[in-house]
Amino acid sequence: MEIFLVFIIPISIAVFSFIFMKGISFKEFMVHIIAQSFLCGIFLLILYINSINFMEIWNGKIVKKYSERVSCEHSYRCHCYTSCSGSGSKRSCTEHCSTCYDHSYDVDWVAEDNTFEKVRIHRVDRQGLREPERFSKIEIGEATSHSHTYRNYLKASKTSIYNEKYKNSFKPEDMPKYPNNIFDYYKLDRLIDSDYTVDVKYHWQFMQMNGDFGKYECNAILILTKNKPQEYAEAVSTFWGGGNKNDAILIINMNDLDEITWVQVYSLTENSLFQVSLRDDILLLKKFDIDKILDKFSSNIKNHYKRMEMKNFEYLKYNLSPSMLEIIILMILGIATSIGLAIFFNINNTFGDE
Amino acid sequence: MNIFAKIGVGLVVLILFTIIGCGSYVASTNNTCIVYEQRLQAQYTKNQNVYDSFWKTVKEVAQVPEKYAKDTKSLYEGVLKGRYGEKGSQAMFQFLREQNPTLDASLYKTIQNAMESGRRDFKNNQTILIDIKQEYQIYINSFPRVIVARGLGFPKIDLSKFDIVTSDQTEKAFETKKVDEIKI
Repeated sequence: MEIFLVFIIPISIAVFSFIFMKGISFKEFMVHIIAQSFLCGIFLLILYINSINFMEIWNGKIVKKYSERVSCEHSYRCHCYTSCSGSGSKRSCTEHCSTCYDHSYDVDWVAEDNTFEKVRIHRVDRQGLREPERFSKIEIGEATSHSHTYRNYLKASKTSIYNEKYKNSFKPEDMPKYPNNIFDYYKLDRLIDSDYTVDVKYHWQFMQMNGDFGKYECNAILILTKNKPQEYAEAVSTFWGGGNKNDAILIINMNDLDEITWVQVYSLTENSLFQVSLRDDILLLKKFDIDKILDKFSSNIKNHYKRMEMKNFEYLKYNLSPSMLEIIILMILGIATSIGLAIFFNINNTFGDE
Repeated sequence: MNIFAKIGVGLVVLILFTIIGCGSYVASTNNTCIVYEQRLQAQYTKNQNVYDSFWKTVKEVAQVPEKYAKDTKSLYEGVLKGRYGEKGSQAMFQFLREQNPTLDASLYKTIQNAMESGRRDFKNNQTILIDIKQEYQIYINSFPRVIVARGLGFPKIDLSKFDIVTSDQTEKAFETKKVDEIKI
């Protein structure tokens, strides 16, 4: 119904301007109606796409690296000449130029992973003839991470029971930031260890492990905490909006004696054995041991993880509707464009039929 | 074109626009209600399937002979419905050991995991069922859609048939408005 309002007010403006403005012809009026409907439709579509699209992380491994010749990007205007026409006060001159290029070709240094994602390493010279040092360092089999847009009806829905927020005593500033900060082209650290429990080498190891999880369509995140109540896990999950559809979030808490006190697993998986088995495997360790934890995390993903399809939640899309603020903004945009078009058609004789 | 002709054209356009808008609204309401009802029924069948498949998993994991299959199913349903209370998994394990004395104690964890994950999967699927039903009810009862949906005869299925399966304990607690203390 609100969507109908977005259309009807600008259309009514078109009708009233056609009746009361003398400079608008029938053809212009019809063009106004069609253009206005199209514009309102586009506004709504942009709003809808924006509300359901979220970013997830895709993992992979470098499978090939190569250099390729591409069209030169360094163009400039050349072979210019001026041509003039008319005489006296009506004489006008125009400059004509061709486009020339610095090189006959440029070279791109590309690494490709098994998700068909291409990483282009910045050139170190203008044409790219010299192999960049960063490109030389790329190893086949190295883990990669990329942001990828996907539809998430669960996060977009305002009415679903999945979106119930659990009240907790933690403040947003106590919560870790969702790990999506990709650095150095394709690297992403997903081991959150605010108490510096583990050596930095494990961050790299976990990054490399995630490269293997790509084929299981999984993005593993590990959070290590100390002396936190179990409520913290629920708070993190709520703060992250339940995570993304391919996330497997493992939260482990330990005490000062490095004993594991609780474990929580969050994941939107078809097979709950993944959460149960992973939790039990970690609890059985009793004492914190990062090597064993990474090993258990990896084996459980490989053996039990099965990502749930978002189409299971497609039923939520029918109740998605713009907020009142969004509707007001859309209506203002629609009214403004409709008034603009009315003034334009009133001033200009666009089709020469008046 | 004189002003009266312009008013006539303007009115025709507005009426046409309203007819197209209302027609699309009715068609989209009808189609969406059908999608919701189909999805609800499909999810209900899926839940039955999930409910049915896990006792079979437990039977396979515990290597229960075929002649005790029915008893295993009945006991598993009892565990799901909370008939054996908090110690449900242990009752199940005891039964399995009676039917299969060669059952290795190391399998206990595997059986327990299969049962817990079975319960979780069932719970997850029941949550989806609740959510579909709730979303459908929001959809057909919101104004002004309620007028169109009722006019088209929706809901065309008996929504009360799509309630979730609860445990005996839960039903008892909701009936008596009392919850027994959990004995540790």
